[in-house]
Amino acid sequence: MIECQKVKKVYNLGTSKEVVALEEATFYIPKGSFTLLVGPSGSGKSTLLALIGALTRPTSGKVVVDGEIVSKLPEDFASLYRREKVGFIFQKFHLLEELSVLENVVIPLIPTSSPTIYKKAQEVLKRFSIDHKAKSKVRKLSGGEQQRVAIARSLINDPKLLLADEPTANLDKRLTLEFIEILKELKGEGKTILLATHDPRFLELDFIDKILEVKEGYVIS
Amino acid sequence: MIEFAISSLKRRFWKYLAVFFIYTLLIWLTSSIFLISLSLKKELFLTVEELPEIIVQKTLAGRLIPIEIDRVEKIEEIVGVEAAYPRVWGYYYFAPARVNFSVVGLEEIGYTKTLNNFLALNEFEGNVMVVGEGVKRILNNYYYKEFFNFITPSGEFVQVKLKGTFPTTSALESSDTILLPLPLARKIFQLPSHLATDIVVKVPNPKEVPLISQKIKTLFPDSRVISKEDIKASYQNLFDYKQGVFLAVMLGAFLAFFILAFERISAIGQEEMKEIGILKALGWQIRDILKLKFLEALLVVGNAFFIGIVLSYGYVFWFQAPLLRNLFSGFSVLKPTVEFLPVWDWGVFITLFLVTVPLYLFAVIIPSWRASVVDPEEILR
Amino acid sequence: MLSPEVLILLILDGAILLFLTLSFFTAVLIVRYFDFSKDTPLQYYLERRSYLVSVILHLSFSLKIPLLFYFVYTLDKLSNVIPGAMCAAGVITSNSYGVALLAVKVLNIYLFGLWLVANREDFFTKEYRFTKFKFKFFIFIYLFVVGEFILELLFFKSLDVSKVVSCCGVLFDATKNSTLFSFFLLDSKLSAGLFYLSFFLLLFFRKKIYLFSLLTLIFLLFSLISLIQFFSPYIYQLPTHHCPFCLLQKEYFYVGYLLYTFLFLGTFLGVSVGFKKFFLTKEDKSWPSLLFDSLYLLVVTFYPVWYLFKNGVTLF
Ligand SMILES: Nc1ncnc2c1ncn2[C@@H]1O[C@H](COP(=O)(O)OP(=O)(O)O)[C@@H](O)[C@H]1O
Ligand SMILES: [Mg+2]
Repeated sequence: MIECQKVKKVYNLGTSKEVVALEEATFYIPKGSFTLLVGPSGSGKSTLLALIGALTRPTSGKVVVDGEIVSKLPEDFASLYRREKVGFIFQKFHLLEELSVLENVVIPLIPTSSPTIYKKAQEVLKRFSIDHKAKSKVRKLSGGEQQRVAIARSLINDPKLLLADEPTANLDKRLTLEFIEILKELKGEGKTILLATHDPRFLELDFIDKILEVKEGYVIS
Repeated sequence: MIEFAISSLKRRFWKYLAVFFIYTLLIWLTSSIFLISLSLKKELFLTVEELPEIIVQKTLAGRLIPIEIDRVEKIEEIVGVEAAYPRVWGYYYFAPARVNFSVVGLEEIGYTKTLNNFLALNEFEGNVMVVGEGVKRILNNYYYKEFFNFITPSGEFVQVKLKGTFPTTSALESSDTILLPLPLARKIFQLPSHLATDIVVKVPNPKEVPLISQKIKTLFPDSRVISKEDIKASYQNLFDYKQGVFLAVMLGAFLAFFILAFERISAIGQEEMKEIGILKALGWQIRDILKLKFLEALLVVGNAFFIGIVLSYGYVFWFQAPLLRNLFSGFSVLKPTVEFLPVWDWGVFITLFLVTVPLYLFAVIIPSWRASVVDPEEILR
Repeated sequence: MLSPEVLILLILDGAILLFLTLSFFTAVLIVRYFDFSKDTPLQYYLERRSYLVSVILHLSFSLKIPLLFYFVYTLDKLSNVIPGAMCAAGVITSNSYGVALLAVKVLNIYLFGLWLVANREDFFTKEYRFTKFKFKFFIFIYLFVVGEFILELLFFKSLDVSKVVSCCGVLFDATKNSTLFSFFLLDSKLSAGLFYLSFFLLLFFRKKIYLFSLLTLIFLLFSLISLIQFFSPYIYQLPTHHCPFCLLQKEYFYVGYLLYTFLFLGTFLGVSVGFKKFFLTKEDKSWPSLLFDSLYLLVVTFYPVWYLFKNGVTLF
């Protein structure tokens, strides 16, 4: 599913502020697996996720996802790739606070201007049992509800690949456990999941297929 | 997408309100000025339409002087000319009110339709006069209710009875005019009976006008021949020029506005920056963001345009443009009675559209683009 | 000449020029430094600037088309002021810049259109394959845009309200062999014949893309000549009235807008298939172009046929 070959990322290349965020990383993540990305803060986890999600391009090396070379895509194609294949869950959820739950969830599908997007949104909301709050503003929801909205949004395009960047960093224990349950369910559905965290609790989960450790830009399997 | 654009505008209501408000105001102002001048132009052209096809004047050393009446017959002999009439008219300066009245002497047959209709209904002989509304108002202010004393060039008084007021079709034409029987007009101006102010020529076929003008010019080299078309062209020129100058001034205001709009919109806040980053990370393409931003801009400018135009219509034709009219009616003190005739001209509408909408879109190009290329990676930090 | 219309034309064209100048600098940078394999901030910057230029061109293009019509409208309006001129034709020939200006205006719209075609293809490739090409092409276009603006300034500056000009009746009169349009003065029937001939050649060679594009240009030329020489008298129902501008007026039901839209769209598509094949290595069908060419041909043919049907005679 994900194949990285000697992927290296240097920020601000060719300027005086060069930062090496990722050294040549080579690994393979099979389809339908659950992979944990661990390492201290600043080690390059987010950078790796950004490269796999085609939010930026590597300085050198190659990233192939689902048979598509995503390390060399122009920006618009990268967006298209994310729209079709990737679901993102961010550290602070990154929901648009002033919009309603429903409006937030349809965001990834708005550019497709397909007429069924609201129906789809209702369905995912139902699945995470927050459809009764569809019309309320995200700002007024509790942390747990916001989390479920964020997950619903990442799944509305039915992605093959789910990328999560420290999704539980701001959550208490109960919500973290709830989140883990959902992840397990999604893995059961065959989604490929890549989760970056420095929360040691994740290491004890029984459904982990692979752990990638990132240290000062080096990736160790 | 459009729903998203609307909700995006709503969320930044205050940011856009100022832009929207000022833009509406500017469109309203420009449009009002266009409408007023267009309406005046229409009025003027209505007047000009009534004019005879050709006016013949006599010049001496480059100045206009009275013309000999015997030329009328010679002009009538030209093929294509239906009739020619001498006219006696001029300006009478009424010193107390410091205004000029147009004084027109009439024979039994007038040379415009409205005058003819009017004369047919009234007895019009001896020391009587008929005046326009504006003249009547001014005379009343100076307590001339029944009659008025003209002073001839040699200082004699001529008492003239005020017989009535003029029917008004077009306010510009008649408001400052005094109509008198021809002999009386001669007396007041002390114009000898073999002379007239000018000669008007009726030509039924407009296509023959240039040729006939040419012939008159050859016949009387000292004459100045003016055709209706010339007058129209010079009016058009004048109006265009006025409008042009005005527009140039307006554009100064627009420019100031654009800088403001630019400032406002290009100041993408942290919040908005983040929002766009999220959209892009969730699969929005650059072109989607651009679409969104231009939709927002179109919503703002489209509504401002529509409201501005509607407001200016109401303002000019309903309320008769209080305040602004003073700017335009600087012709003479008599003119403020002008009532603006409603006009609708696609050309002006399009002109207004072109001067406002595309420039706004140009003003938002760079801010919109800047928003669209926000780096989506930033939101992972 | 300072009429509001002229002022607006100059301002909008000036605004377009300003933004295109901005794009011009981007174009130079991109032609020199663009390299998609690089991961430098400069490269990201250039990619993003490329989008800016694309937005600017889209907006300019969509503005240039109505502005062309507005330009003709302005000329029509000015014809009231300029003695002798009855319609835009008299104004545009009243000084030596007019015809060139109009030609460059039309040419630039074609060029903008072609640029947008290249831009679209570029954004459809996953490796920015045509980016450098489209910006080289842009630099070329930019020169024409500057030329257009200078011509426009000169044209309006030298418009003279006191000089008597000819009306369209004189300008397009074949017997008088007048100056600027003398090139256009083929015999009426011959011009119509050449027009139909070039259309059938187009049909015949619709599969040979390069030839098709070339023939499209010839078709455009004969369309214009025959419109002036042969078809317009039928449209005006007046054998001596040859004018490509009066068509746009209300008396003739604004048929000119329809005709010119079909003609310019059809020939643009015809040129663009050749352009695509040559520069963008993309094969396109020629039928959309032929469709609009045929629509033009049908509308324009309708007039003489109708005239013949009604009056039983032809004009020439
Ligand atoms: N846009 C950027 N510009 C410069 N340096 C960056 C940028 N993004 C990340 N970095 C640097 O790259 C390194 C890796 O960061 P990151 O991938 O965010 O680590 P993690 O997610 O593991 O905390 C850090 O040293 C960080 O400062
Ligand atoms: Mg991180």
